[in-house]
Amino acid sequence: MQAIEFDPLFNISLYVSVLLAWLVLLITAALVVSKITRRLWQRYSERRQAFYLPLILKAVAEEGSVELMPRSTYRWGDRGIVEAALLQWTQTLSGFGLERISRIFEEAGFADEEIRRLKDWRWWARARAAKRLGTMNCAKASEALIRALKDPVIEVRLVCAWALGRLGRLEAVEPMMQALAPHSRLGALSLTHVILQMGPRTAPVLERMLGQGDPAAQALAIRLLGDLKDQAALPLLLPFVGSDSLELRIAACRAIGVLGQEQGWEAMLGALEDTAWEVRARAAWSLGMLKVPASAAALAAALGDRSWWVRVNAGEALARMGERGREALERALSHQDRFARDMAAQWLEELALGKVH
Amino acid sequence: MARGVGLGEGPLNWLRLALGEIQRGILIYFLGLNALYFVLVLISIFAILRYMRAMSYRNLQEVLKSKLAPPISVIIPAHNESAGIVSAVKSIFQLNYPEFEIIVVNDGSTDDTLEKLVRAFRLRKTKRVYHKSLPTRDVRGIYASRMAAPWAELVVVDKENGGKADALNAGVNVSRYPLFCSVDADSMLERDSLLRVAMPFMERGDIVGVGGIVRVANGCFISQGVVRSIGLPNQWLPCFQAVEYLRAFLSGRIAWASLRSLLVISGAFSLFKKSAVVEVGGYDRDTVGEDMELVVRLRHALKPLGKPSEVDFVPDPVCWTEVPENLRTLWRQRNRWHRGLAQCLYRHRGMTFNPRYGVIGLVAAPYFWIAELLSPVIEIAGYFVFFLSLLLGSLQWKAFAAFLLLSVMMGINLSLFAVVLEEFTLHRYPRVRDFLRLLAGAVFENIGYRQITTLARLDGILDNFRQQYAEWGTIERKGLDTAA
Repeated sequence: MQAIEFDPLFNISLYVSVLLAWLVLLITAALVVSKITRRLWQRYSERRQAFYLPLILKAVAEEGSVELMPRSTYRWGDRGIVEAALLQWTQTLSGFGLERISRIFEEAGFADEEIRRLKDWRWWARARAAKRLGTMNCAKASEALIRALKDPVIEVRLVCAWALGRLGRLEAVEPMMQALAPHSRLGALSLTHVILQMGPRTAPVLERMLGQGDPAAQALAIRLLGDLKDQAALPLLLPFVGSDSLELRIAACRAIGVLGQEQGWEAMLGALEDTAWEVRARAAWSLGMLKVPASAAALAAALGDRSWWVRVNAGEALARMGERGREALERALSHQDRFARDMAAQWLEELALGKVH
Repeated sequence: MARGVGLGEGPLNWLRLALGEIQRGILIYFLGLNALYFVLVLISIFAILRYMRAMSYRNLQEVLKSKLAPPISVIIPAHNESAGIVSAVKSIFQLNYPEFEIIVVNDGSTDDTLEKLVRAFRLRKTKRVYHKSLPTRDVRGIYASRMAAPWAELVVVDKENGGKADALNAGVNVSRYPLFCSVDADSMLERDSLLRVAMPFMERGDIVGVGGIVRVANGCFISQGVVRSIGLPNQWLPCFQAVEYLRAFLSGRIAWASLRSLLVISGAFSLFKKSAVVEVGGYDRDTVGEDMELVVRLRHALKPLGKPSEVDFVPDPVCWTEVPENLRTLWRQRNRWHRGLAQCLYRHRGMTFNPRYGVIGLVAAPYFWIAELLSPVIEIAGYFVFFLSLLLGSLQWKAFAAFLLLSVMMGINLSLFAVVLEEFTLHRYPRVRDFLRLLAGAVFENIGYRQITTLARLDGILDNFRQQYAEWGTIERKGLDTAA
């Protein structure tokens, strides 16, 4: 047997292993302690919330005469517990109750605290502040929320837009569009939700935005005008069908289809000849929404389009069109293009089964 | 000059010398691996906290009501899934998402999978056009439901048997929507899973694929396709797998995703941009790891062209899946996974150490070669070398102890970190009993269980030299519906 020399690598490995073993013990202990602590805190805060609940109810019922957090019973941590209770309660209230609880929130100084937190260095604290202000319908926070729409973190901007939507502030629509529409589909989606909740009174602002700004904001404005069924917007939308921007052409075709005004059909026939398949597919879809019988021939021709999606949408549009559409589909069964014949057969079958609405 | 063994004369001494050097190499490997794993864990902690905070300010209801949410085709490939296919389809219909269709692809089942679907959903053969953008085996028929909405959104494709990848390609061909989600017939999605997994597509324009977390369904109470209560399995084998899944998803994939270098998402639940998948030719029909292969191919093919090729992972859309409860099935599963990994890495070896692929080429791909593919080889070689040294009388006990402790402690720590992440963020196992079992599982899976899976993985590598064909990865199942 050979003599074994000292090797520092083995010692290092052993030290690392021992260190790892200590780490195992440490993590396990930390996990157990944190689990116990969290459970205890949860029980404690539930008890304190139960203590404050009658006071909150009394404060809602008797305006201005109830001290929400009496000094004699106040304990460390109670402020957070009361604020959480108010926020939780708000979700079940509307009308007068919501107004009252919102005023209690402001009177207790929570609103000012949250407005200050909109400038916190941690983005999640800013987002939480915006969410709380929105949940409490805190009108005095409008200006601060509009300013916070320029926050560098998208989550904060999203929550601010949501809060402003709850407050129904019309002057916030344009800053919201500029803050969120160019960011992503999620921003546009959130904005759509907010603006549709605010309703048709936002239409004049959106119409104004058609002539200016970022293409993404313009495309969203076009889309929203369609969704809001703003019939007066059609003449403003038609020029966008010939826009240089693909995004704007698609949005315009969709909005015209959603508006459902027959006057839009000629523009859609033109769009059916667009170089981009996305526009042709959307135009075919819109013609199906407009249901103008005179467009049947063009749609029947589109059944033989080189793009699959144009063919699908043209078939569906014809199926939606009623008698003229059905006749066109039946004629297409003898189309020279096999794909057009197959598509016609598919949609005739869907029609027969009553699956087209 | 070797430092561990004294230099003597004769071949035995040379062998001892070589073994000493190999022991050193193995220890260096494990030390390096430890350091790398801890870096990944640290990245994961930050990434998951960022994600959870962001999600707490997202309004899923807004997405649910929106017409801007991209519609999704959910594709379920099925081969001899007669036992659970109907409940799998019903569970998908319960998902919260504004617009989606379900495509079941019956891949030449020899049981009554198709008949059960026809009866349960009143299917009829249609004239729906099969748009063959990806090559597949012949389609025998496309069926749609006679029932009213939402069942009308169900399409069943009946085709010749061609393997899972072929079935998925057929599903892609039939799909109508720009995104498709592949879901295994033996898995079950939580109600908001589609909403959550689609989020990255709504946030970023460069995404082509997103994966969600897969968790162990054994031990949960499931009825009518819905998880009614969450719990850990009573048996230790699936319990160890529950810990293992947590570790793989919470500390591995999140870290790679935040480094924008994720190379694998689970085929049991993944969402893809259809146009990108069609552009790269769809799922590869000649590999056993079609899910990873697709992700790597998307990266490999699209990144040099400057096209969007990002793949993301989100930790909270949960897919529940049944895991093996016996060693034989577990062995087969791990063998197949590792074969898939080896095939995929070999096929796309051009990415490894290739600076054109940035972090993927210089870090992620080498990591998968060295830390994932070769780890069973090195670990088993370690045991073998130490055993041989013992026979030759040259075993350095300190080195052996260090090797054993390093490999076991590393595993325990990684699993514990995953439990920490789970406890502080997602918190899906609120019961104290389950929490304690997770802790125990994190410790004991490293003694015995891990070595068995390591052997299975090594067997997978060896199998690559013996056979290379695509097959359906089936495990013996009891079915997900515990109430049934």
